[in-house]
Amino acid sequence: MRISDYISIGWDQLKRRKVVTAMCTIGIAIGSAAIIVALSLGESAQQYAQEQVNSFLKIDEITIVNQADTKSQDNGSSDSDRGIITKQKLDIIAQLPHVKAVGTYKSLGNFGFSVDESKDGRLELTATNLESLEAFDHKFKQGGISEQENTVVLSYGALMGLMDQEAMEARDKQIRANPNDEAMWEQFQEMDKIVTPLYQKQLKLKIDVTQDLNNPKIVEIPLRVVGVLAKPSGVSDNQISWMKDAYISHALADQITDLMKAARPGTELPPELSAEFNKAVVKVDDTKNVESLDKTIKKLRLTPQNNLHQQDRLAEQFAIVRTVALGVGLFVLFIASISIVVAMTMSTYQRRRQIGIMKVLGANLAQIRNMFIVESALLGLVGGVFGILFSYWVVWGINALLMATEGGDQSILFISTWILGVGIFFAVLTGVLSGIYPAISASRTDALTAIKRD
Amino acid sequence: MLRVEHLSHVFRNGSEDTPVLRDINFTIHKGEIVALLGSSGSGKSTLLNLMAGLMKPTEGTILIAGQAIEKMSENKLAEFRRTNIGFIFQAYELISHMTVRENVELPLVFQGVKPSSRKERALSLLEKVGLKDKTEMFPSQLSGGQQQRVSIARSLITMPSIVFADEPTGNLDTKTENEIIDLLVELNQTLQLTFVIVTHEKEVADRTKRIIQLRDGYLIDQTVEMGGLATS
Repeated sequence: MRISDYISIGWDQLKRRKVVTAMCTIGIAIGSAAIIVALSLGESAQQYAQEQVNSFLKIDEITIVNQADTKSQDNGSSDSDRGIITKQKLDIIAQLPHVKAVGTYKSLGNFGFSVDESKDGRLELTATNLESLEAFDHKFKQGGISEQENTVVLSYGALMGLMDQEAMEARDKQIRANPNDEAMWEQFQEMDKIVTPLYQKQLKLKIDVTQDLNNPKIVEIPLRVVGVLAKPSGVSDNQISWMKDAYISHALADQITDLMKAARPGTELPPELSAEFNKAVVKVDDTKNVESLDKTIKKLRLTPQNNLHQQDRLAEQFAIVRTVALGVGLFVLFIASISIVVAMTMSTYQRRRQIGIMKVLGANLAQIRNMFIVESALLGLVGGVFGILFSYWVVWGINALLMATEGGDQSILFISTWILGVGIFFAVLTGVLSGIYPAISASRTDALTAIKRD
Repeated sequence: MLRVEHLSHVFRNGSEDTPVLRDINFTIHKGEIVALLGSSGSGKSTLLNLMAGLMKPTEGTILIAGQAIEKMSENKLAEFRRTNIGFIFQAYELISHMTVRENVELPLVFQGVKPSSRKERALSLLEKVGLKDKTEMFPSQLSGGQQQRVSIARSLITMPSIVFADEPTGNLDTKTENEIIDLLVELNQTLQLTFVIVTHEKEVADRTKRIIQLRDGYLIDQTVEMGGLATS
C-alpha cells in the first residue's frame, strides 16, 4: 500500500469525524503549545539572563588588577614585576589570539561639575584608552571620541538628575524636614531621571586638587562633551540614573594628577592615583576562550579574574527550569493522548464493519494497523500545527504583558525554530503512541464477524 | 481451479459440537459459473466462507489455483484473497464515504497500484457494468441494483481467479435480480471468469451452468444444468 494512500484514507477519516478530530486536536494543541511555550520560556529566560549577566558581570571579559599600588607599599622587597601591568605586557596580550580589545582604566574619583553656569551634577571620572570604548559594548548615542584635548565621553546616566543650586538646597531642606516621606522620595526619584542634553556642551569639572576636606582648593577644568553613550539594554532608568560614568583620555588624567601633585608638594598621591592604570580589561571573542586566555595571561605574571563560574551556576539553574517546563508539557500531552486513545478506540469499534470489508478485499494486518497509526499521526500533526499557532498567540500575549508592566519595546520571549520542531515531534509522537493500541485492536478484528449481519 | 476434498466443519459451542458441513467433495473448473444452492441452515454460507478463506475448516482441504488455503496464515490469506479472490456481498458492502470509483479501486489500493492505473481500470470496469456516468457518485445516491453493480466491478478489479457471490440478488427486486444475474453470466462468458454464486433461490441457480446442492451439511447433488446460461 502506498504512503499517499495511507495519508489520503487517514485524512478522509479525520474530515469525516469533525467533532472527534476537533476535540483531539485541541488536546494535542494545548499539550504541544505547553511544550513550545515552556521550552521558549526556558530559552528566552536563559538568553535574557545571559545578556543581563554579560552586561553586568561581563563573562566575555578578563579583568587584570594592577598590583603596582600594593607593590609600592611593599618596601621593594622583590624586584619582580609580578602583578604589575606594564606597557610591554599589554602589547603581548593585545597580540594574543581571541583577544578583541584591551582596555586600560584608571579611576580618578567622583567629581562635581556645572554646565551653562546654572545646573550642577556629579560624575565618576575614569581614564581609559577611549578608542576601546566601543569594543567594550559601549554604543554611542551621540558623537564619538575626538582627537581634541580636554574632551569627555559621558554615560547616559551622567545626563540625568542635573539641577540648579536653588533646587538642590530646597531638596536638602525637604529631606531634613521629613526624611521618611515616601511620596517625596518617589518624586525625587523621578527628578533624578530627568535628562539634560549635554552633547557638545562645555562642562566645568570641579576638582579639589588638595584632596583635603579641611583645606579644599577647587580647580575648574573645562571639558567638551564629544560623545554620549547609549542607555545600556535591560537596565531600568532608576538604575541608569545612578550610573554616572564619564571617560577621559589617559593624557588628560595625567594632567589632572599633575595638578593634584602640584597642589600638595611633598605629599605622595594615593596609590590608586599615582599608578598608571588601576586595571586592564581584556575583551575575548567568545566566552569559551576565556579560560584558556586567562591561563595565558597568568603566565605573564599577572592576576586575571573572570566571571565564568557565574555562567556555570546560571546554566545549572536554567537546566533545572527547562527540565521542569518540559515535564509540565509532557504531562499535558500525556493527558491529551488519553483522549486520542479513547477517540481512536471508539472509532475502531464504529468502523469494525469497514475494517471487515477491507480485510475480505485483501487488506492484511499490517495495512489495517498502519492505516490507524497514520490516521492518529495525522491527528497529532494537525494538533501540533494548531499548537504552534496557539503557542505564538500565548508568547505574543506574555510579551505584551511584560512590555506593559516592565516598560520597553523589546520582546523578551521568542520561539526558536528548533523548538517548533520539538513541538511538532512530540505532537506526532503522541498521536502515533496513542494510535498503537487502537491500531492493533483494529487489525485483530475478525473479518467474518465484522461483516456478519444479524 | 477449485477443489474441495473431504471438507467437514463443526461449530463448537462450549462442549456441544454442531456439524454444519460433512465430507464435501467437488471441483469447479476454470471459467465455470456454479450455483451453491441450499435452504437456510444447509451450510452453503459456511462453505462459501471456508472457500474464501474467511474461516478454517475442521477437516479437509480447499485448493484454489493449486494452493491449499486452509494451511495459510492470516497474512498469507489476505495476500491470496487480494490477488486471487473476488467477493460480491448480499448487502453490497460499499464504503459509504467513498465514491463509486474509489470503492471499485479499493482492492488495488491494498496491492499498492498507482492511482492513475487504478482509475483507468476502475473506469473501464464501471463502463462494463453500465455505470459509466455514476463514477463520482456516492453509494447512497444509487439504487440497490446499481450498488450491486459497483460491488461486482470491485470484485473484478484485481482480475481474480475466482469470484464468490454471496446471495448477490438477495436484497433486490425480481427485475433487478434478473439484470444482475444477466450481468454475472455475461461477465462469465466474456471474461471467462469463474463464478460461485451462493443462493437459496432455485430460479437464480437455474440460470447457472451447474448447481451444487446442499442440505443439512451434506452435498446432495451436483447437477449440470444443460438449460442454464439462458439470458432473460
